[in-house]
Amino acid sequence: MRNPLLANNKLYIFVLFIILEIISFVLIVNYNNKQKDIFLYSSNLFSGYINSKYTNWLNYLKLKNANEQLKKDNAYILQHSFNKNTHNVGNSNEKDTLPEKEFNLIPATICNKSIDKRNNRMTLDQGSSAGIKKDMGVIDAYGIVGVVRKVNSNYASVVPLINTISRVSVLIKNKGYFGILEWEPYDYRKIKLTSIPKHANIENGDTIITSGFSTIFPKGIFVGTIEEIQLVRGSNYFDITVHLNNDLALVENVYVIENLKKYQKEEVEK
Amino acid sequence: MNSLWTNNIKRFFILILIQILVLKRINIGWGDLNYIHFFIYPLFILLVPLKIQRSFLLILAFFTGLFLDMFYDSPGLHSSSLVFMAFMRNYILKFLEPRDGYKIEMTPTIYNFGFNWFLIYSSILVFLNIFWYFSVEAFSFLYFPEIILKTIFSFIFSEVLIVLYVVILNPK
Repeated sequence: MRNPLLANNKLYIFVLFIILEIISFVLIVNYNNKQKDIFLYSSNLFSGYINSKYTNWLNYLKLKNANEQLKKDNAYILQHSFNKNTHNVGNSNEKDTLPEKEFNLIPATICNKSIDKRNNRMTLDQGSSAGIKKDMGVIDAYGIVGVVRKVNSNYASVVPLINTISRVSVLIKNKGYFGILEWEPYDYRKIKLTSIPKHANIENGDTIITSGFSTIFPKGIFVGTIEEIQLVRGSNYFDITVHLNNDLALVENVYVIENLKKYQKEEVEK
Repeated sequence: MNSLWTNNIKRFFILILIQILVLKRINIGWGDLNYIHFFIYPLFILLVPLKIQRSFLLILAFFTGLFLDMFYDSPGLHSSSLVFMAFMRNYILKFLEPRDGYKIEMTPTIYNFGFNWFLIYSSILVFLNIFWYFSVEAFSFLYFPEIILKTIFSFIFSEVLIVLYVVILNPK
C-alpha cells in the first residue's frame, strides 16, 4: 500500500461531499435567520428577474389583445363623458341613475390612409357589421378625424378633415362664435376656419371645439387652436388658420361615434 | 490500534471542550467588527490517521461540525466548513506527499513529518476552513472585504493556537 489516498473512488467521494454540503446549506438556510433572509432575498431577486423577463415576453404576444381592450375601455369612457355633458344640464339635484344614452362609440383601426393628396381618404377596419353607418363622426383621443362616407360589411371609408370636401361645424370656446372648418391643401396640420365675422373678439391661441349643431359630433370635442388670424380687405369674415391638435399622419386607433338620437333631431329639422 | 482510536476520541472531546467553553467566549476586534475568532477544532480533522476511509472522514467531519453547531446555535455552518476541509484534506496531503510516500499507519503530525511540513499542511487546510466558514456565514460575496479581513485575522490566531497545541502535546 504505497498510496492509500488513491484507494477510494474519487467520484463517490465528491458526490458524498456535495450531499453533505447540501445538507449543511439546507440546515443553514432553514434555521439561521440571517442566511435565510439573504437566501430569500437573492432568490427573489433572481426569480423576479426571470419572471419579469418572461412576463415582458408574454405581454408582447398579448399586445394586440391588450390594445383591443384598451380601445374598448377608452370608447366606454369617452362615451360616458359625452353622455354626461348632455345630461348634467338641468336640475342637478335630480339623481338620474340610468341616463338615457345619446352617443355610442365603436372602436376601429385605420388600415389605409393618404395625407398628401387634395382629396385624402382613410379606411377603417370595421364596417356595418360593427354598427358603423354612413355620416358617423370619427374621432381619436386628441381630436376629430373625419366623417364616414361609405360603408360595407367589413370596412368603412372616411372623409378626413384634410379633404377639400370636408365641412365640420365648430365653435370658438368661451366666445361662442361658430364657423366651418375647411381644408386647403396641402398642410395636414393646418385647417381653415371660415364664417367668423370680422367684429368677433378673437385671439391667437383660442380653443376650437366641435359645436354639436350637426348630429355627427357631440359638442365640446377639442379640435385645435387658432394659429393665425387675417382680415382680407373687403371681406366680412376673418381668414383664420387653425392648428389641429391631433396629428392625422400618425392617427391609428379611432372611435366612430354613433348618435342614437340622430333621427329624432333630423326629423324635426326637416 | 485501539489506542489510536481512543486517542482520537479523547482529542475530539478535548478540542470541542476548549472550543465551546473557552474560545467561543473570546471576541477580539475593534470598531463594530469582531475580526478575530479562534478555531481549534479543525485540528481534530487534521490529526485523523491517514488510513481512514475518505467517505468516513467526510461523515465524521459533518457530525463534528453539527456537534459544534449545537453549541453555536448555527446549524449547518461549522459542518459545512469542516466537510469542505475534510474533502480538501486528501488533495493537500497528495500535494505535500514526501518523496518516499505515506505509510498507511501514519498520522499527519510533527512527530512523523516534521514541523515545516505540518505548518504548511495545517495552515492551508485551516485557511480553507476559515475562509469557507466566513463566506458561508456572510452568505454573500457582497461582504468580500469583511470576509477576507475576518479570515486573515482569525487564521493567524487560530494557526498559532493549533501549532502551539501540537508542539506542546506532540501527538504521535
